[in-house]
Amino acid sequence: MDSQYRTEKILHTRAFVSFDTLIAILPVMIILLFAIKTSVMYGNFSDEKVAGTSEYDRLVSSADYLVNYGLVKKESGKYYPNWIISVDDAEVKKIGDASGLDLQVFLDSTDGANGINSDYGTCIYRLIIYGEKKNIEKIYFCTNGADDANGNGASG
Amino acid sequence: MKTLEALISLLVFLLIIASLAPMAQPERDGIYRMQLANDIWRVFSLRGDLEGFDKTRMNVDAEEITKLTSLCVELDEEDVTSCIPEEKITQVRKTAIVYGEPKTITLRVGVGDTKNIK
Repeated sequence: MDSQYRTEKILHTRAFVSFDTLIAILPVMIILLFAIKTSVMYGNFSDEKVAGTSEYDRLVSSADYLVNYGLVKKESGKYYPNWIISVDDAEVKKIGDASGLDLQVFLDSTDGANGINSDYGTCIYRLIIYGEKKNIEKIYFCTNGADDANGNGASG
Repeated sequence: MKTLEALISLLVFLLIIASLAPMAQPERDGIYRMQLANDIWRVFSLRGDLEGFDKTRMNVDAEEITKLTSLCVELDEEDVTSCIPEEKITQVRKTAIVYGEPKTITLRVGVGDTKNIK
């Protein structure tokens, strides 16, 4: 009698453990599924981000070079970063070609900023001193995408 | 009971993921912001504001920069500010000669109320 009671109790306990495990495994499966989906999503997101930012990063680098060296005032071999006397279109084109961008430069006072954003995909600005009068100016660097002739572009 | 524990674990896991997700995304334009802050410092320098540390001229130029960019410019502890940056976007530390003594200054750039700048 005692033995039969013990056997029944063991069977009931095992059944209960199995059932409980069965239900508990569902949240575990959901967690695993969520983790996998999240990692896949972030993987895709990173790829898109790299492709999207490469153009932006090249624009930022090109603008930085032009504001620090390419377009700045040079006197007796000395460079004056952020001091631009005039915009040298040939230098802009050279850097644009080198970075694989259709790079355009606009000065806030002379060219105006109106319409730039609608015509160009990505624009950034930098602060400079313009001309011998040393006026504070905003200079825009814009690109409407990669220069296809170079074949190394990415769309933003 | 175990089901309840598993559900609580799931909730905690989701909360942790949700709180960590924004941290996983690096600032896209952190370098550009830093470059803008350095531009502002160079503008002060090229305009001759740092010679003798002319705070009046620096304030005028800071306001001019705010007019152009809608960004607030503030030099920490130096009474130079165009508007108070409510949301800081970047800051750089620079050394300048302030009344004959070299001093490290924090230049803060941020977004704030620019209504008073006309």
